[in-house]
Amino acid sequence: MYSQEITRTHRSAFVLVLDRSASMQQQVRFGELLMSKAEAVAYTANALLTELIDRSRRTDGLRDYYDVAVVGYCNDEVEMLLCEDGFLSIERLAAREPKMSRLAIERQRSDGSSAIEEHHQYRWIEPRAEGTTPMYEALLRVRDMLREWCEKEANRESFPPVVIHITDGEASDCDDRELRDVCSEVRRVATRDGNVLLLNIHISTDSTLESIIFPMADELRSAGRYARLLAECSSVMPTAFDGPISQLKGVGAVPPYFGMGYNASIIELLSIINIGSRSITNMQ
Amino acid sequence: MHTIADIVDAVASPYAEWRTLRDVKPEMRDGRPVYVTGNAAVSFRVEHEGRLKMLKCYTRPNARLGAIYGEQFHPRELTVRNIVGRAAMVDCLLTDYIEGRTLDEALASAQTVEECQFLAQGFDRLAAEILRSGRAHGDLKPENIIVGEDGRQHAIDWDAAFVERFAGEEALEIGTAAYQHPERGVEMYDEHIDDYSIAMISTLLHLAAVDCAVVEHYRKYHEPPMLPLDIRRGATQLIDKAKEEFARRGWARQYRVAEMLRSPYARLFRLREVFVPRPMTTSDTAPTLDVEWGWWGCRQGDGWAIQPLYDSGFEPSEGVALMVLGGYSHYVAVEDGRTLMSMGKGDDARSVRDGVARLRRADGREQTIAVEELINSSK
Repeated sequence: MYSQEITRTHRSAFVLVLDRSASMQQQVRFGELLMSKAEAVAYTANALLTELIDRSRRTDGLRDYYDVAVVGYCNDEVEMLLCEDGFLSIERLAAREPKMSRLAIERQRSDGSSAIEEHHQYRWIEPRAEGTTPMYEALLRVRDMLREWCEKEANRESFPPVVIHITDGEASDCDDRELRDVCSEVRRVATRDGNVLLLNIHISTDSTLESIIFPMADELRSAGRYARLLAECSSVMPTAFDGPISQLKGVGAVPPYFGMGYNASIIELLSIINIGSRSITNMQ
Repeated sequence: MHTIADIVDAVASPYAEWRTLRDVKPEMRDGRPVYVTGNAAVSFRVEHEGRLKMLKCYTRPNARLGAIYGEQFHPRELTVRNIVGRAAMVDCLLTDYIEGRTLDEALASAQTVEECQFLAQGFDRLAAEILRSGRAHGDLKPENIIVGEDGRQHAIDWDAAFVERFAGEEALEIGTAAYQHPERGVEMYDEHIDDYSIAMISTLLHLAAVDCAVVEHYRKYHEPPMLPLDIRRGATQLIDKAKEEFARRGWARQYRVAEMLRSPYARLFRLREVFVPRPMTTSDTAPTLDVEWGWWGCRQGDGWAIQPLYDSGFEPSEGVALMVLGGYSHYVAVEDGRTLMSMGKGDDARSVRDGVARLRRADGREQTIAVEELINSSK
């Protein structure tokens, strides 16, 4: 299980689910930059999409290893942010060539001098933050998209889709039991190589709160209600991910780990996404 | 999280912080460096000290790269910062740039039998070099082979290689499934790790030279039409087809290599002998039919006049031996092991006597061929 190489005949899928409700307007520190959570999450989503494309770039051109979807929810509506059908192949995504943003930051070099450092990024996703948090409705849509994707004959043997859900609060359209149920339905969708991996990441602006990243069962005993709920909603990470998670967590970490982050900073969000997208390093 | 984009930005920067390298200029297009990626690295075509080179920046550490690449490897060479300012020192590899295209591209675009034969022969020469070298690549596949402008093939991306000093350790990766024996695990890490990949690629290319459907399949899926798991399950007829085609043509080496793809073991112990022929004889003693490990050939003095690859054979006479492979008889030259003439399955051929080869075709026709004509016909 979770061992299928990603090839042009055994493609995989990636789904990002983004909370775009009003609370995402809050300011958050992103390294030396101050921006809204919505901007930071859009940056992270764009970085991941760019990385998926970059990882597919071979000598003979771009290889169509993935289908990707970005689902946004806010204001009582669920939006497909890349294309209306939901999934878009990485080849078609790359062909769009969206606007590239250039961010120049003055940084100190190791010899003490300073230099302008440029960071380039394609912008497929623009930040948005308004209204309520229809998380349940969004996850239902994700479940349906994943079922359709996994039922296709061409995808039956594939590495299962990875879903990364980023939120900063609680759902406005369901209670805990309903949230647990819909997440369980998402996780039950499967290819022959394994069930869908659902990672839930709760981001926070309050740096005084302790974060919980890829927790072990022990860590959850003393955690609050929402952290435990998110863990119950998330996949237990397969053994193939244990190495990098143990490395991130440090000494004393023992698998299995839940695929979740609670009170995560944006930097921790980047680390979780890096590990969650580990399957993209098994492309041939 | 350091992304490929962070590395590209660092390489492109006029203020790039290199630890030891100087004067690295990436090839640019539309203001950005040109790059391709692999599983563990991003590669750039660069000009370095006036020469065209390939710069590979690793996205994850591999402690064996120094031992594999020697001075070409530059640990912790480039400082890469992500948007939040976190710095990482990235390992780099700087090697000569080989102009050409990958074997994957070459096979996918092959239009003629001759092109496939050319690729197959080039690969067999490369395989012999690798098998002779004592080191092994670890992830041999058409994408990791460059067909140079002179036609010579070069294996690239040796990151998963085995060299002698790693003896007793485990492999860090086990290569691409389409070219690996299903039983290969990390514990198999020695000079045999390329055995199955070599057998697979060689069979793929030689089969492509006799069956255009193989090229069409490869063009579409970029993988062999016979996959290792299917071979093990007996779910493909293509190995039988390959053996039949090779036996009919008297391609004894290819026949043996195709047969090895059915091995229950990942180490193909006789592969080296098949790809690296024993020296031809210099003796003037009479050649005699002989057998080694169950395969027949013609021994002459200390060497082999006809390599021991056949199912059976007859004593050579007048410079020609009648050898049998996969149910087909072939007249083979003792001088250089060339197949002079191949018979059909129902044909009844006799050894050369009194300057004449006699055979009765399956339809009952009798045929005699002068030995000079036989020898000259295939030159």
